[in-house]
Amino acid sequence: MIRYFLRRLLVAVPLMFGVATLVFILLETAPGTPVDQILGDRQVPPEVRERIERAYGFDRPAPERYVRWLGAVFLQGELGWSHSRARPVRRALAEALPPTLLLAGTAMGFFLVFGIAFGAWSAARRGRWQERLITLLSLAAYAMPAFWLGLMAIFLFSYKLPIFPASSMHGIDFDTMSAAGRLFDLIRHLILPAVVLGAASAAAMTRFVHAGMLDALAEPFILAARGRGVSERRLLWGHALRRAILPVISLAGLSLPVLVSGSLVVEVVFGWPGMGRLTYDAILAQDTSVVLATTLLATLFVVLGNLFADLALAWADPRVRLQDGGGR
Amino acid sequence: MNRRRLGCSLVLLAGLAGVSACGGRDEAPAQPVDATPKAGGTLVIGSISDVDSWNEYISQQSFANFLLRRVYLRLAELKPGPLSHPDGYEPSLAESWEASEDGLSLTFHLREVSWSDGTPIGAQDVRFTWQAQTSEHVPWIGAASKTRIRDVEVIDARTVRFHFDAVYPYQFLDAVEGGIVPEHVFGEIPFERWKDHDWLSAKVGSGPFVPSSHRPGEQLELVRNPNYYVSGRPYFDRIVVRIVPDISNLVTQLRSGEIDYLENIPYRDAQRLGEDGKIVVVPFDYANYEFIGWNGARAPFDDAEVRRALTLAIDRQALVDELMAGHGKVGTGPAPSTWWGANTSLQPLPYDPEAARSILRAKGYATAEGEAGETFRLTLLTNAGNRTREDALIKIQAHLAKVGVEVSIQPLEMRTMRGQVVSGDFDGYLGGWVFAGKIDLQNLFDSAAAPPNGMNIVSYANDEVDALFAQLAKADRWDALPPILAEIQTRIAADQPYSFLYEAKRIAAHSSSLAGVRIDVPSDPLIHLAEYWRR
Repeated sequence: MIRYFLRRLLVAVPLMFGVATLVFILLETAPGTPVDQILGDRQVPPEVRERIERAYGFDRPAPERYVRWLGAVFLQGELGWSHSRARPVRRALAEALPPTLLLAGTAMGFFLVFGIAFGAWSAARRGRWQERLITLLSLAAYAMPAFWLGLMAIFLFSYKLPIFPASSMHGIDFDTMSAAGRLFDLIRHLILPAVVLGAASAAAMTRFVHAGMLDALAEPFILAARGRGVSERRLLWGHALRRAILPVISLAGLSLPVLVSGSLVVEVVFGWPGMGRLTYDAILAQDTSVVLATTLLATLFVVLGNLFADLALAWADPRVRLQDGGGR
Repeated sequence: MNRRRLGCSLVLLAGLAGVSACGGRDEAPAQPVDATPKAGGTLVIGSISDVDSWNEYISQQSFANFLLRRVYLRLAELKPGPLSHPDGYEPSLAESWEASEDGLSLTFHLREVSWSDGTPIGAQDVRFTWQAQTSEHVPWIGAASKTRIRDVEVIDARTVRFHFDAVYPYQFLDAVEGGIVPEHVFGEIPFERWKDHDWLSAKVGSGPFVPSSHRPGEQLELVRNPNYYVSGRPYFDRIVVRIVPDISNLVTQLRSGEIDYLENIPYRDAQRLGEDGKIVVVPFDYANYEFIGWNGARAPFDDAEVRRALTLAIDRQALVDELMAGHGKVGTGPAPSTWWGANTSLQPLPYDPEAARSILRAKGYATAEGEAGETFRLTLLTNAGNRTREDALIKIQAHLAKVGVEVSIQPLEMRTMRGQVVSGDFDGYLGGWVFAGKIDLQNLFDSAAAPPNGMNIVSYANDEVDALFAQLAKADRWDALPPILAEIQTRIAADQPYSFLYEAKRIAAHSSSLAGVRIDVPSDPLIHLAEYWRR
């Protein structure tokens, strides 16, 4: 398994840089330069514009900038400088990554718990109004765009019923709070964006688990267990769910990069200072260094998410054998 | 040239400002009689953009710049109501100044004040700031204002002299542009490393506030400067800026009371916000205008009469009323009306579709169905995502349809649109200019200022206007400028290289518990931040 793990990681390296090269080319083919973004509707004389371009290296040809960036990453471990944040890219990432992991991790926890619970519960009430209700709610949650859901959540729970804060990760006086106060403050700020981010995934998970449970409940081993006198509760949660949950493990692993990248919309709506915000601001500012770095990181998350899914499935299901091609 | 007369003109200007100095910035302006300002507390401001750098000469963000002006003072600050005189300034770090007899230098006398860390502010700081402003390594957007300053000389600890390469009217503006930074802190970093440095660590300022903390993308904090030279100011102990890139979220927070003050309120929200009396809406002038730029290098937009007809056919007042709820005014010409040099006698072209039809018929176009003549078709571009501009184009399409002009609208991503416009591949585009500091009409309308030499994107060319710009460049007296500028604006307005659409006000809003809010300097909405207090 270790060899399999290392081989998969090694394959990830050329993949990451292939994606980064593609992103670099796409950014370079966009019309204009970062200086256009910096200046906006302000008019400056040509000599001032040239001075800004020289100071940031925008006057260098694109291939030279790419080679310099590659050299800095490979030889020095440097990801470059963010002109839109006026700090090293490494530091910008270090500031943005923990909030995104916290948000994505919490959203994942939410959608796993609620998705599995509601999916199993609705399958157990097949044909009844509870199943129809859960189906309707999960389809609605899946169909709602995240930005709309976010704005509605803010309107309802921050304005009409001011229970949760409307934005940010910390309260204004976070730095002067006690440890318990800080924890409570963080949780309060986390709930709305995590629920909004996890809503669509929870809905998808509900449908997945529901379908898996229905399949499992139709299996002969369930009939045999029922014949042996196993209780319905145990049949449902102990036997059928265990069978139905195997694809969920894959789904959870594949969801991680989706959550990290999908958090962009939620982070913008809620002002959450994470990777999504960083990438969004960098794209608007044509801050190539940041976009490349976040692309590398997102690709790494995709690789790790897939790898986690494969390894977890192999651990959960003894029938699965890991192969070099990465398949099962 | 009569140098003595010039010297007198500059001295008069200096004297006007110096006279106002007798009132002194040390004495705070009068407060409304119905309230006694209370010191203390925290003001929470909402913003969609963050501070990218705590160094004014590295920062590229307008909002960051407004905050940094509260940290690093200028030698002189803008007065409200610049229409009554040339860009009026009042003493700030400098308490007085005078021009030399020959008009080639300006001497500033600094107040006896100190930085927030107790170090005295001196002439050496002014000279150091000028060195930074003119350094090749410092990518300052305002660098053009210093090109005619030959040297900045330290006379003594609190006296500094600016030497200019020639006598010209903008000497004072150029000298005071840019905040003065502390040499004892900023001087420790070589200029070539300025753009790479984390300037939050500086935490030293001369203004009412100094930076305290910054969580990028989330929140920043400024605290009162105990050594600010205006006694009793600022009223607030702390300013917290909450950064959320979604304006709807910020408007909701304003309504719920989580934030106290917000700018750039969408027009559609402005009307509803003040209904319950808990929020005060403050429309304010901003040095800007929006226009349709016609491609003067492409027929028929190279014909001034055709451009004039298109402007006559657009109901610009309706655009102001319907898009901005009346928060704006119809554009008149190439300079914003809030500018000291604006030609105030210039009137906007009327909305006159009948006159437009006459012109277009004479040019061979059909202006109604069934009429003989060629169908006039054109495409208008704008930057996608700017809701007001997109809505404006839809209305303009309807206005022009009434005179038989078929308009296709093409919203494009900003950089794509800019690339297409700069390359000359367009009929017309809806854009806008925002002005800060000196307004340079020559960069926009001189025939020699086509890209990459300038911003004359519409290929406007008028020999008489070019000659007037040349005359303007040679003017050495301030009072010589207004008549030349007025004539330039009149001629450009007659030619209509742009259809000057409107000057939009911006909308700020604040909690009704906030007092002292005044926004009366178009290029600096937060200039009175030290005067705000909570009832």
